[in-house]
Amino acid sequence: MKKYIFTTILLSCVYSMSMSQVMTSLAVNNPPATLSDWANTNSAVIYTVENISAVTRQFIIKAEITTADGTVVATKDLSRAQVFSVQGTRIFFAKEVLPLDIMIFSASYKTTLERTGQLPSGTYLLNVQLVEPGMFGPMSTLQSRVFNLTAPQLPYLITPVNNDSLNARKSETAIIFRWTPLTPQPQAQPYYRLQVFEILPFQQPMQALRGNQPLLDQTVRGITQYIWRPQMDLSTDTLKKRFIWTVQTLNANRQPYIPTQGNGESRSEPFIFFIKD
Amino acid sequence: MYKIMKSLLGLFLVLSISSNAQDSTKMKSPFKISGVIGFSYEGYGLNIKPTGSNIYSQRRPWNQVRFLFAPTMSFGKNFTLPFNFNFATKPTNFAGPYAGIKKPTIGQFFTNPGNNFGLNPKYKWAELLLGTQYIRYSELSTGDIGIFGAGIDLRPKTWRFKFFTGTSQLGVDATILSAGSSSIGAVTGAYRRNHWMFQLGKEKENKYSFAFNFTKAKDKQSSVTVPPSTVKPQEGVTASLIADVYMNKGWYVKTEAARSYFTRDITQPLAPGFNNSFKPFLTGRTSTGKDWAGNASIGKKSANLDISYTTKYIGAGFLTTGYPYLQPDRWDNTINTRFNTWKNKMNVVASIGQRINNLSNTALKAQQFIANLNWFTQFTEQFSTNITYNNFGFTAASGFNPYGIKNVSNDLGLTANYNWRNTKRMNMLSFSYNLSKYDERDVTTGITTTNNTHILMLSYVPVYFNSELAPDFSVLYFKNTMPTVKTSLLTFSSSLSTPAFKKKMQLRAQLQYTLGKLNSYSSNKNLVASVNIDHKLTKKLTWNVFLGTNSFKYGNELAPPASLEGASYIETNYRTGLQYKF
Repeated sequence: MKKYIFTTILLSCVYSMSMSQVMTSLAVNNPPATLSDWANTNSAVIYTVENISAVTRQFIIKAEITTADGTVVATKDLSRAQVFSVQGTRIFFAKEVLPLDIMIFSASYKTTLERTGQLPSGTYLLNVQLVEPGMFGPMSTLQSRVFNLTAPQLPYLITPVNNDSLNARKSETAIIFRWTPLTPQPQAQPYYRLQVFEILPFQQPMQALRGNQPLLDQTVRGITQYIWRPQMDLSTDTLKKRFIWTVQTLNANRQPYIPTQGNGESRSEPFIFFIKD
Repeated sequence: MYKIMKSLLGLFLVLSISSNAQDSTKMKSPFKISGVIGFSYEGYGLNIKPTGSNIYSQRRPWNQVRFLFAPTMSFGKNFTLPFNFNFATKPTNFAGPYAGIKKPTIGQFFTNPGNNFGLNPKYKWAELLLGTQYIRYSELSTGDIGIFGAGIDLRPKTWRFKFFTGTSQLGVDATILSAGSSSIGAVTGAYRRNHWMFQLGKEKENKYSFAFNFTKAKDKQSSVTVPPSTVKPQEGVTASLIADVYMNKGWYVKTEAARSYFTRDITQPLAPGFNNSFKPFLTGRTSTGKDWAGNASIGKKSANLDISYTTKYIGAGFLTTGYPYLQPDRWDNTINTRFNTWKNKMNVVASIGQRINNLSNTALKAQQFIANLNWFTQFTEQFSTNITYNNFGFTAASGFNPYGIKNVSNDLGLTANYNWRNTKRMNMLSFSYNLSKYDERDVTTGITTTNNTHILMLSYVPVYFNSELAPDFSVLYFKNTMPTVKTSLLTFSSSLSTPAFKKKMQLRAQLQYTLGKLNSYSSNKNLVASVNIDHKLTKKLTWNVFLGTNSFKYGNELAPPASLEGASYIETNYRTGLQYKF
C-alpha cells in the first residue's frame, strides 16, 4: 500500500514539475469572421509556449472551439496534428493552433462553414492546451479565451437609386449621395470613400469604374451622406450623361475593410445614374 | 504603343478617304461600312491659391488622348465585321485591379479595364469573339467584367452555344506600403486572372429561353513579384440554369438558379474533410465556400400596364468572378408597376420592396424598405405635373452598442410645368420643389438626428418661332440643415445655343453662378462657364470643341489658418476631337 501511495505522490510531483516547466499564454484579438483568414492574421490568435527546462520538449497543440454554453463547435484531429519541439520560448499563431484542414466541425457548424467560410455570429470560447504526442496526456494548463464573431456587412447604396435620371440643372448645383452604414458599427469609425465616375460614350459602366479617373473621390469618416457640388456643365444636347458611383469602406488605417472577401476592395455594388435636361 | 496609335490614325484617314470615294462613285458594292471613328484630346488645368494648399484635388488627367474606332464592315448579306476599339493613351485607374498603375506594359495596356479592343466577325449565325469582350450570360453567372481573349457565339436556329476564354487582368506588382500609410493612390496590385466560360441553350425570341451557364476563373499566383497586400489569389466556379418563358397577353416568367464554389485564398491547404469541392473544376480548400443564388420574376407587359413581382436571393457564400462587386447574403422582394391612364395623360411608375440581409446568420440582421413613385399627369396641353417619392428605411442591430442602426431617407419632389404661346414664341415655365429628409439614429445615445434638404427651382425656356436662338434661364435655391451645419446655395444659370455657318456649326454656351454659405461664415462664390462647338466639316466629319472653366472662391470657412481665408481655385477643361460617322 505504501508503495502505491509513494508512486502516486512521485507521479504527481513529476507531472506538476513537467507542467511547471512549460508555461503557456493565449491571446485572441478580434479574429476575422472568415475562419480561413485567421491563418493570414497573426494577431488573431497568439499562443506563447515557454519551456524553461534545459531539455527540448515535444508536444502537440490541442485546440477546441466551443460556444459560450459549452457546446463543442470544432476540435482538432490530434492524430493528424503537427508535433512541435520547443526549447526556450516560441510563439504560435492561428495557422498552427487551429489549422482548418485538420479541424473537425460538428454537423450544423460545418454546413454553415462550408457555405460561407464563417461560423454563425455569436460568442465563442477557444480552449488550447499542450499535449504529449502519442498518448495526448496534458503537458500544460488549459488556456481559454472568449471571442466574438460577426461578419461585417458592407454598405448598400441608397441614393441616387440605381438607373435614376436626375435633372441637369439641379444636379449642377448639388447631388446628394447616401448609403447604409457598415454593420455592425465598429468602435473605430470606418472611412467611406465615395467615388463617382463618368461613363464616356461607347464605354461599359464597369469599364468606366475600373478605368476612368473619378470626378469625385471623397473620403469621409463615419457619416453616410455626402453633398457633392459638381461645379461642371452637366446639361446635354443629345447624349445622356451617365455616371457610376460606389463607396469603398476603409478601416482606421485606410485599408480595405474586408480585404479577402470577393473583389478584395471592399467596394459596394455600384449604381448608375443619368443626367437629363 | 505609339506605333499602334500612329497606325490607327493612318487607318482613320484611309477609311475617311475610301468612304468618301465610295460616296462619290455611288456604285453598288457588296462592301458596306457604317459606324464611327474618331479621336479626342482632353486637357485639364488646376490653379490653386494659396499654392501648395490642399484645398482641392485634380479630378481629370492633365492630358489625355482617346481613340474611338467602331466601324462595322459588311461584306454581302451574311458577313459583318464590327470593331469596338476605344482606349486612352494614359492609364487612369482608381478602382479595380489596375488601380494606381502608371507605366503599363503592352500586355497591361491591352488588358486595362479602361481600354476596349473588341472585334466580332460574324457569318450568318456564327460569331467569333476576339479581344475585349463584356460577356453577359445571365444575372448570376457573368456579365460585368471585361475579358481580353477569344471565343465563339453560335446560334444555329434556336440553339445557343457560346464559349469564351481570356484574361481580365494581368499580374500587377503592388506598391509596398509603409505601416499606417493609406492605400489611396498606391498600386493595389493584382494576380493574373484567367477565365473560361460557356453557355449551352435553346432560345426562341419572345417565346422561351433555356440555358446552362458555366464560368470558371483562376488567379495565377506566380504572376506577381510583389503580391497585393490585401486580396489573395482566388479561384471560382459558377454554374447556373436559366428558364424564361413568354406567354400570351404579355405574361412572362423568368428564373435563374446558380451555384458557386469560390476559393478566397488558393494558398490555403486542401480540405479533404470538407464537402466543398466541385471536381474536376475546383478542389476545395479551407478557404472555399459554396452557396446558392436565385432570382425569379413573374409579370405582365402591355402598352398601358406593366406589373411584376421579382425575388432575388444571394447566399452569404455566393461569389462569382463575373460580377466582382455583387454583394452577397441578401434577399430582395419587389413589386414593380407602370401604368398609363386617363387617355394616356397620366403615367405612373412605382415600386415597393424589401431587402433582408443575413439569412445565413453569420452577420447581424438588417432590413431595408424601399418604395419609389414617379407620377406624371398632363392636365391640359399647357399644364402638367410630376410627383416623385422615394423612401428607404434601413434597420440593423448594432453589435454591442445600446441602440440599433436606423436610417430613414425620404425624398419628395413636385414639379409643375406650364407653357403658353404667342405669335413670336412659346414660353415654358417650370417650378419644382424637393424635400429630402434623412433621419439617422446614433447607436450610442439613441438620439435621432434629422437632416433636411429643401430645393426650389424655377426655370424658363422661350422657344422662338422666327429665330434659331435657344436660350434658357433658371434659378435654384438649395438649403441643407443638420444639427450643427447649415448649407445654403443659390444658383443662377443660363445657356444659349444656336446654329451658325449655314447650320454647319452648333454653338452652345452656358453660365452658372452659385453663391454658397456655410453656417455663419462669409459666402463662397462659384462661376462655371462653358462653350461647346460642333462643326460639321463635311457631311460625315464633325469637329468638336469644348472649353470649360470653374472658378471657386471660398469665404472664411477654411480659416484658420488665416492664409486660407478667401482661398480659391480655377479649373480649366478643354476637349477637342474629330469624329467621322460612316
